[in-house]
Amino acid sequence: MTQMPQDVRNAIQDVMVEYAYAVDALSDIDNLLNLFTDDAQVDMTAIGLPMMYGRGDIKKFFDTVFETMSHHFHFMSNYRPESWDGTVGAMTSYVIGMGRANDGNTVTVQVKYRMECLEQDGTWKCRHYTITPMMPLPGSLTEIHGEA
Amino acid sequence: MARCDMPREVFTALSDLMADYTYAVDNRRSGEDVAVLFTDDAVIDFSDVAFPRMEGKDEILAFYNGLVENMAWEFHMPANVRSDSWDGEVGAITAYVIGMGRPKQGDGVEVQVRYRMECVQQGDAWKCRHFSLKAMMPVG
Repeated sequence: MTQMPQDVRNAIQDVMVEYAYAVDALSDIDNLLNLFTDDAQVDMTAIGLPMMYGRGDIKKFFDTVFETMSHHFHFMSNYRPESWDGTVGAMTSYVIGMGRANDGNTVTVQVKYRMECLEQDGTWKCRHYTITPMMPLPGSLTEIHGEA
Repeated sequence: MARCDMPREVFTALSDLMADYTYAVDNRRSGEDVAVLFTDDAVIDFSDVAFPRMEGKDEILAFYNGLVENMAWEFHMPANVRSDSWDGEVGAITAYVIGMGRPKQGDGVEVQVRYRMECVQQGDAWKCRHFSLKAMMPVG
């Protein structure tokens, strides 16, 4: 690939960090949705969760997550540029994700995020987001977040 | 970093200060190694995780000397570092931290928390003037 410029790398890494803060706040769904393009695709099927097409699907999924969870903690490291074509950039990162549901059930996963991002009106947004498991998934993940 | 117009070099300096803090706590050498990273009138507020609120260097020094005396192992790993505010003189950053510790006697502890450090430049060095923790997962 063409080497990803440092400012693009910083911008995409910022989107990933903002995503963690937005998901873990468990409130303000618009703050989370604003990180995605209107037609963004979110593919969580590899961890047994839904495939989402567009902000409507993303909102529906995370509205339920925010209602269901009392605590969230998504800890990111190992940021790495994956591709850059001059307009669209993709980066990956390792994530330890923890959560506690309102009913006391808990979940911890070790996964890899991939976010494909582009700049729209001066703001970097994610247009494709996938999660890949890196360690076996606990049963509590689908107990808490449901089947795909 | 995002969220505010903090210059990149300030963000880097504050991130370095946070890393220095974890190294100073985790090496368990001396409370002074930690206290030197704070202003003389700094406030540390750990009340969200049922630890003390400290005001001023003497209280800070006493707390961290206590950790040096009582802890056998410490491990604090920050991630998700983000700029929080910048007014041209005072900057604040936040980060997620996995913290682990094992006392010389008793059971170990692991926490998932968020740090917020508000910092100012004094001479050539950046120092923390307000440091708080927020629990992100249930503690204890």
